Amino acid sequence: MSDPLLTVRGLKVHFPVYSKGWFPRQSGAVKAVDGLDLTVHRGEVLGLVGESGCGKSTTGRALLRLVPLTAGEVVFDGVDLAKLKGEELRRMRRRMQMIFQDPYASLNPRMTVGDIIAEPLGAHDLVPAGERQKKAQELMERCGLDPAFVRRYPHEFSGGQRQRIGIARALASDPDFIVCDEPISALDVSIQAQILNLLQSLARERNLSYVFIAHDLSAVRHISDRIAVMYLGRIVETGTYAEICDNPRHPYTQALVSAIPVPDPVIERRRKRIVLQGDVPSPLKPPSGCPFHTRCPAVRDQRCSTEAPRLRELDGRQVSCHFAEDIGDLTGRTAS
Amino acid sequence: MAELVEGTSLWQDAWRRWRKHRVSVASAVVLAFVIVFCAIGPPLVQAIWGWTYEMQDIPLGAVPPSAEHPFGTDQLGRDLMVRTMHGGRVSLLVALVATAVSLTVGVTYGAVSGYSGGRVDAAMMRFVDIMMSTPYLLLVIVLMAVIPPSSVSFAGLDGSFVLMFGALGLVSWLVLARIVRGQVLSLKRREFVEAARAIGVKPHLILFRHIVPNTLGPVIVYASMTIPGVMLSEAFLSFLGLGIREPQASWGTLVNEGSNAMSVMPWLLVFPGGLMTLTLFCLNFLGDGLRDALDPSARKS
Amino acid sequence: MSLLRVEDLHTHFHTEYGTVKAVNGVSFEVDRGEIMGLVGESGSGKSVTNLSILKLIPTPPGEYAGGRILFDGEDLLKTPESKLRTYRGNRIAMIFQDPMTSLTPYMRVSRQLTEVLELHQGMTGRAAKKRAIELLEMVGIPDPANRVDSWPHEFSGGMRQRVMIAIALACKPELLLADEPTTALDVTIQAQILELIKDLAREHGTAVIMVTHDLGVVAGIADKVSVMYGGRIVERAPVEPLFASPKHPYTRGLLASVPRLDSRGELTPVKGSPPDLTALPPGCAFAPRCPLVHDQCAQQPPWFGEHTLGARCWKEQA
Repeated sequence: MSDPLLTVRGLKVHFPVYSKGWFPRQSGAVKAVDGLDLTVHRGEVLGLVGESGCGKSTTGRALLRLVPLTAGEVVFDGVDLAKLKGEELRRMRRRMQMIFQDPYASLNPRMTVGDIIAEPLGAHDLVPAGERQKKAQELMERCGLDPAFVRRYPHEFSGGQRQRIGIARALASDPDFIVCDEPISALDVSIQAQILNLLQSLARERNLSYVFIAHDLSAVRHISDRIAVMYLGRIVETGTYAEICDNPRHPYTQALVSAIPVPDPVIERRRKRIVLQGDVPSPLKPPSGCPFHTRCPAVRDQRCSTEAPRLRELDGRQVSCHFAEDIGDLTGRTAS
Repeated sequence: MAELVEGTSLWQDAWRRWRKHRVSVASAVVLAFVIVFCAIGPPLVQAIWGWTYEMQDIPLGAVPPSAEHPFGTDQLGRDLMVRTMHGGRVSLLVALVATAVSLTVGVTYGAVSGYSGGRVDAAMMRFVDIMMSTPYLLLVIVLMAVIPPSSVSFAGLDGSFVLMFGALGLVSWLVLARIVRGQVLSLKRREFVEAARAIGVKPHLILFRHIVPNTLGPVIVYASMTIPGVMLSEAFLSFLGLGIREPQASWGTLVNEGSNAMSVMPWLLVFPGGLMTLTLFCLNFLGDGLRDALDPSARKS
Repeated sequence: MSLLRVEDLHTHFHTEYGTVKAVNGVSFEVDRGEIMGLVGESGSGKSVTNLSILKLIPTPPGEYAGGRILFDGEDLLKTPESKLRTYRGNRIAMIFQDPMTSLTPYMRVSRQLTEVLELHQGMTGRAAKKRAIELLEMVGIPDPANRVDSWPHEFSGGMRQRVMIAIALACKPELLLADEPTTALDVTIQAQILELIKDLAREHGTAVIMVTHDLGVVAGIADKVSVMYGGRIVERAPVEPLFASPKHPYTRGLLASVPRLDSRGELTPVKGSPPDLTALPPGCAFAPRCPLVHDQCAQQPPWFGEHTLGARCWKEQA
C-alpha cells in the first residue's frame, strides 16, 4: 500500500466573487480549498469528512480538475493534472471517474440508461459502437441492475437503482481512481447499505482507489482505510479509520466524533458531547491563524489566532493543531 | 439475454400527456384544417370557379356571400375566399419563417452565450439588450425605407415579403436567446453536465447532447406562443402600409380593409377576421397544452 | 389519559395514479414530557402522520379517511378550523425539516417571533420584543438583543432552525411535532438542537413527536419509538428494548444496515426497495422484502393491538 497513486500538495481552489455591473470585476474570493495536502495509495479508500461548506466536495472536484485550480499540484500516477490542457486532460479522464451525490440530477433525463453507461466507452473510443450496449448490459448486471432495462430512461428507476446506474457509468472506462461525492446521503436508510456494500466489493475486485466524501463519519468509517477530516478548506487531521474515530486528537475531530449519534440508547446516555458554539465562519473571510480557533473548546493563547498550524506527524497520524500533544481527550474520557 | 424492456422517454411521456389534453388536441386538428384550407385552396378555387386572388371584376363590385362567391367579393370584385386563403398563406408563412429564424438563431446564440460564460457571455447579452431596447418599429421602418423591396426579391418571392421576414426575424429571436441562455446557465451547473465533463465527453457533445435537448421543452412552448405575436405584428405593419402590398394580401391587410367597410359590407371583416381569430385561439390552446405536457410540475391541479 | 392519543388514523391522497394510502391505520399515544421517535424511510407515512395531527394536509388531494386524534380528550379531526387555528403554534407547535424555506424571507426575525406572541398570548410592543429576545437567547443565538432585528437570510441554516424552534417554543406548547428537524443540519449543530428539544421536554413537560429516519438520533433523544413501514406502525417499544432486541424483521434489518461509528461489522442491507403506496400488497407490506416471509404474510396483514407494545408480524406472534 506504499505506492501512492495520487499526491496533492498545497492545493488551493478560490472562487472569484464578482461585483455587479455591465462588465463585472473581481471583488473577492471564496477560499473553498486553501492549502491542502493529501495522498491516496493504490487500492486504498480514503474517507474525506467535514461539515457543509468545509470544501470537501470542491476538493473532490479539484482532484479530477473539474474546477479550476488556483494553486498547488495534483499528481496522478506521475502526471501533474494542474499542467494538463484540453485534449490531454480529457484523455486522462478515462482513468479517473466520479460518482455523484444526487442520483436524480446526475443522469441526463433524455438519454437511455444504456447510452448513459456507454458514454465513457464512446468518449474514449474503448469499444466499437456496435458492442457498447452489450458492454453496458454487462456493467448493469455487475451493479445489480436488470440488463433487460438497458433501453429505459432514468426517471423509470428508483433512487437506489439510479445510483447503481451512476456507478456502472463510472466503471465503464475501467478507471483506477473514483471520487465518490456523498454517494449514499440522498438515499433511503435501507438502501444505503446496499450501495456501500457494492462500492466496497467493486473496490476489492478491481483494486480501485476511492476518495469517499461524506458528512456521515459512520459510513466513512465503514468503508475507509484512512480518513481525512476537513475544516474550512484545510485538512485538520488524517489517520487510519480507527485512529480518527476511536482516538481523535484534533479538537475539531473530537467534537465531530462526539456529535455523531450512535444507534444504541445505552451508549448514547453515557456519551459526553462536546457542543461547539456558533457556526462555521464564512470561507469568504476565514479567521486568521488557526481556522478553528473561533470555535475551539481548547483554544489556548495568541498563537492560535495568529499562526496557522501546519499538518504535522503525531503518533503515526497527522494533526494540524499547535497543542495537539497537550489537550488530551476533551470529553474527559480516559484513553482506553 | 432476456427480452429488452422498452423505456418511455420524456418526449414520449409528454406526448402521452399532451394527447390527454383535449382542447389542445382539438386545436391542433383545427389548425391542420386551416393550414390545408389555405395551402390547397387557391388552386382548387381556380379549377372550380376560375378565380385567382388578383383577378378583378370591377363591374361586379362588392357582393355578399353567394354560391359562386362563398365569402362574397370586395369592392374590386375580387373573390374574398381565395383572397382569404392567399392571405392565410402569407400570414402563416411569415409566422413560420419568423419562428424558424428565432428558433435557430435564438437557440444557438443563447446556448453559445450561456455555455461560454464570462466576458463572451456578457458581450453577447449586452448586444441583445441593445437590440431589445431599440424601438422595434423604428428599426423596421428604417429598414424598409432604406432597402428598396425590389432589390431583395428572392426565389420568386416579392421583395416586400423578404423584407417582412427579415424585419420580424431580426427581432423575434431576442427573447428566445435570453430564455435559452438562462436555461443553459442553470443546466450547466447540473450534475449530469458535470458528470459528462468528468467522463471526458467532448465540449461540443456536452452542449448539443446534454444541454440543448434539455432546453427544448420551454423553447417549444415559447415558440408556439410567439407565432400569434408575429402574426399580429405582421398585421400591424401591413396596417401601417409597411408590410404586404396590393394586390398581395395577408390576414392583417384583409382585416384592415374589412374594418373600413364594416357597417356596409360586414362579410369583408367577418371571414378573414374570423379565420385569423380562430387560428390565434388554436395556437394559444396548443401552447397551453404543450406547456402542461412538457412541464408537468408547473401545472396547476 | 395521555395528552395525545391517535387511534386508527387513515390519511389518503387521491392522485392520477390512484389512491395513495399514506397513513393506513396508525395508532399511538404520547404523554406529557415524553419524547416519541417516529421512525421510517421516505414514503413510510411518518411525515403525513405528523401533518395530519395538526390537520395540515391539503384536502383535496388529501383525505382524512378515518380514525380519531384525541388531543387532551378532544378529537382534532372534528374540531372546527377556527378553533384549530388557536391551537396551532400555541398549544401544538411544529418544526419542519428545511430551515431555509420555513421562515418568511420578507419579515424580520423579530416580527416573525412577535407575531406568534401577539396572536396567542396577546403580548404587544416592548413586552413582546423583550420576550422575543429571551427566546432567542434560550435557543442559543449569540448576542440576541442585536440580532433580533436581522433578516432571515442573514442567519445560517443552524441559526434559522434555532429561530424556528424559538417560534415553536414561544407559547410553551404542550405538544411539539418535529419533522426531521436536524436532517438538513451539520452534526455539530444537530447536537445543539437535540439538546434543546430534550430540555424542552424535561423542563416544560412538552410532549414531543420526533419524526426521523436517523436511528442514532432516536437512540439519543427518544423515550419510546414507533417504527413505520408502508403507512403502518410495524413495531412499538420503549427505546432500550427496541434497540436491544428489535422484534420486527424490518426494524432488525434497518439496525443491521446502518453503519456505526463505534464498530465496523458487516452491513446486511434490507433487500429491494420501499413499497409502492398505490399498490400495497393485501398482506404485510414488508413481505416482499422480508427474510422470514411465509405463506400467511402475503394473504393477511398481521394483527396488531391498538396500543400494545411489540411488532406487527406473524412470525413474532406465532
